[in-house]
Amino acid sequence: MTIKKGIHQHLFVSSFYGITCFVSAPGYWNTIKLPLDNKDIGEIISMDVFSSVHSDLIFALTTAHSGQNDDDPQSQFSLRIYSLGVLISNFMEDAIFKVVEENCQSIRLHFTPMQLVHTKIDKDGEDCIVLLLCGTDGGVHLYIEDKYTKEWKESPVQPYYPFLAGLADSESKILSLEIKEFGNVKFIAAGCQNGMLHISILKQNESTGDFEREQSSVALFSPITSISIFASSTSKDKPEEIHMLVTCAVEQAIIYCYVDKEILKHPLYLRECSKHDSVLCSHIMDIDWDGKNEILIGTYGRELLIYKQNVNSQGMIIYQLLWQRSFTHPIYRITGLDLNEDGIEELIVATQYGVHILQPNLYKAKERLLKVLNEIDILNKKCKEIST
Amino acid sequence: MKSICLVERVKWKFAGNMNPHAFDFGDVDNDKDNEFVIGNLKGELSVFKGISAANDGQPYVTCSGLGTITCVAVGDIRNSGKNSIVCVNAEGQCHIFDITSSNESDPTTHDENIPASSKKNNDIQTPAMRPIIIDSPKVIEKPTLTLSVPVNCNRILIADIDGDGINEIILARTDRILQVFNFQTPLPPIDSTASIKPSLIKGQPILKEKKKWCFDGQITSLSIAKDPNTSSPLLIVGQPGGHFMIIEKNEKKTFFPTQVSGDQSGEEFTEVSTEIVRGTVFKNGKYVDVVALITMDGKFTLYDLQSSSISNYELQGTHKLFGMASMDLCINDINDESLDNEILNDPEKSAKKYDNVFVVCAWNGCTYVIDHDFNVVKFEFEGRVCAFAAGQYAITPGHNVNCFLYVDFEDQITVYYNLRINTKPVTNFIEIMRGQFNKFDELLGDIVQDYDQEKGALSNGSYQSTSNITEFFHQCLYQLDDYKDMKAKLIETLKRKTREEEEKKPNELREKNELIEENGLLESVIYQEKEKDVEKSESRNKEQNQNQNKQDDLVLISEQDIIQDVETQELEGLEIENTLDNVIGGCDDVAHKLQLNQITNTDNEQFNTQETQT
Repeated sequence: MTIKKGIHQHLFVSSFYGITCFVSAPGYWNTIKLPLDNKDIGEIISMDVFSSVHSDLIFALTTAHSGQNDDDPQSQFSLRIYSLGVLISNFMEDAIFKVVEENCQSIRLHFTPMQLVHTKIDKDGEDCIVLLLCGTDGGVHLYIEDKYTKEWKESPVQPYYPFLAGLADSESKILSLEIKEFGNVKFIAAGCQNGMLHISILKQNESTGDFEREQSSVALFSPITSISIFASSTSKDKPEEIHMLVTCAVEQAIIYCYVDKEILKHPLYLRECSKHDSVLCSHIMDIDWDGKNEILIGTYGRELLIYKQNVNSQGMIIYQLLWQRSFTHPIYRITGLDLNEDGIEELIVATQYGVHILQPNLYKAKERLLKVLNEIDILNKKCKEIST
Repeated sequence: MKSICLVERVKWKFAGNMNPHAFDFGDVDNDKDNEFVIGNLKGELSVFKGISAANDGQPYVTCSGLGTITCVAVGDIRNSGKNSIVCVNAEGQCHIFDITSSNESDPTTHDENIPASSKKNNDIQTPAMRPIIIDSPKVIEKPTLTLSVPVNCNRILIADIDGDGINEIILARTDRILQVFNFQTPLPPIDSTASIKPSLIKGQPILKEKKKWCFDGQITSLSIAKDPNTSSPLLIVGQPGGHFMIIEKNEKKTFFPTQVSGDQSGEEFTEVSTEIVRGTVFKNGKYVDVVALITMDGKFTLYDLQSSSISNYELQGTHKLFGMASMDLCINDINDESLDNEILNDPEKSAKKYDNVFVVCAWNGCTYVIDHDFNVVKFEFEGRVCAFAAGQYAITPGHNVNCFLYVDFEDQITVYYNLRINTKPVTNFIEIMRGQFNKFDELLGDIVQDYDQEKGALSNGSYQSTSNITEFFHQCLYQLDDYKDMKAKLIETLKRKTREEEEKKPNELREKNELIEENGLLESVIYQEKEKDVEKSESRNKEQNQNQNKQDDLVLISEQDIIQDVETQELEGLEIENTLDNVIGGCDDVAHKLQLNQITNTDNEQFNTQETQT
């Protein structure tokens, strides 16, 4: 889980019994174990960190108490939200300690919580960050912060995400949820334990301003472990091609190409993935600084695979295996951020027993950067030349 | 301290308790590939060669009934250019094995049927990874030779310690006596006639005692080094409590550290076992030997033979340290095809010679890789360790690579190979870019806020306050959009400036004519490019109407043009630059609009007004 604070980005890693924060700093990083009382909290199931309009640092956890005397087994689960409040701190280290000290809000859950994500919604004309929590009761629960009391309360999903509310009727348990927005197209994708993949695409018509909704579902027959909707290029203004990567426990990873137009009609399979046991996680990142996103896949078979998009002789999109590396333990999560603040993003791989930090080849980065600098430099010089 | 995980490993079978020093790496069958020899207290000796799934962790050669094996070494004891295995037991026997090509003619080993000479050639011609298939370990009935040596030897070293060009066998005994032997084959009697075959006359070879020394403390380890000043060999004998004795070839003995009474307390002289290895450091254009010591309680000491200076480092381990080895990580780098080649190709790096590193292991499996600057990398082997070895081993024929070997208490040896260990601290990208700043001073000064201060801070070695430079670099690498925008803006200014100039002197007809020509040229280019990109843009912008589509095409082309622009300039220099300047100036209307479109992409109103302009 990463959080962006100003230009700094920090990393939170959770294990069953604790949370460690990697605080980035120029040239190094600090690791801080959050001062949480394990007895109070119990086992951590899922976690989310973000900042909102009201608070610099909000920190949400779903936990399970191994209640030995509890008659009601459902009451073991809770959602805990720590919020930094009005205190603003320039140092992440400081903020972390303060956020834990601050009064924590605990919400009892009557279902087993799963993935916890935050997303932005439009509430009464204002942007507002809400928490979405998938549960084993088949539904997605929405939690919203009260503007005045600063209390988090459950609120119906229907007004904001009618698509997700519709899914609650089915018996499926949502394992992974992805909500993304590219320009005026909004995607919501949900992957279920029974292998059902649901997607809803909201497009805003440019001329009328109306929303057009398209929905589709497909059965993949094995639990869906991760979904990433991504643009093939890192360009923010005009994403050219939008694809969706879906990984599931048994089958190989699938890329639904041009998901914004073709929806699920154009699947592409990443065959090498199936050689390394279940795919547990995926990440999208430009690892070779060419402006094109690569696909990173982590498997239970301890393998990290990186795919690069290419075009074959027929002009069709293909994905080629670019790099792979074995780890000692199953890979649970992959992310990328600049931990030592040197301008280069490190690759973070969380495995069963630890966090691996991989640094790209800095000499290749140098080569690339020099090329870019040269180009700008020439333009810049020419500019000056003319102005004089 | 960096922590690493090692992934690639194999497991071998090896049973029984062992002396933690009864092993050695070496080329026992003289094929230039290193094997691993290990002996246990039950008298079983195993030689491992290569790895493959087929041999299922079985040894290559075994021999049993060798007594209580206390130390094993591989070396050229006969001074014949061929290595032998020397295996010494506590009962005073020294077994010598010559595993030569004739011994290898056993049909169970496929690869070895070919005579040694042709086999070697074969290996050179086909260095491909040919797995060695060993169906079952070859059992050797008895050693080639068994000689008697003193009892209770616990350390062995095969080396030329007196500089006479002949290897000696140095044996350290548990009764604190160190003996040096020469392997000698009695010469045939002088009166022998030529008719008698020499082999018949050759008597039993003997070990002739050359020297004998007594020590005050237990001899905990043996090593050799080269005197950096005289290049003559030095024998280094480890003594308890982090002490050692250097014996020069003229038998001059020096005890180190010379006087401990001054700065250290009297309690320092504890009887902890000391391991010694030789390391090399690249200094003033040549490799210089350094002695490294580790005591069981974690005191790591480097002794510079040249300056006689001592530097210490305390390893914060919870368990006793026992196994130590020296390793040259550079060798792995050369073999590593993926990432490190890049570094080697880099002139700055390849010119820099590598120092070796030291590897220390604790009983609980914690392994520390320490370099000469005391950077430590930690690896945790899961399981308790009976013996630890680090050295060069031929995993595949023809390549000796660095390996870690852990002998555990569950009758297994775990071999880790393809060790990609870098002891250096995490490199900062800014540090790598530092040398390049001067080239782009002008550009960075224009774009990066507070560039001069940040550059100044950087030259003082501070990476803490370069946030603006870092951010700019990050943009250049990850946000190509911003970079393109920047380019667009630059070209924008460029055009504005040109136009201003044009307005100043509107009467120059000659130039205008030129411009018109260029304008036509550019349009044709646009047309060509457009055809190429129609497909692409259609798929991208289906929902957009025809006009917009056209607009979009142009945006794309203009971007391409800009890129081409730069590339051509780089290629062909100033001549083209001038013409291109004109092109950009000439097609001002079109390009100008395009740039605006790009910047205010979302602004529909402006978009439309420009549309009408055309």
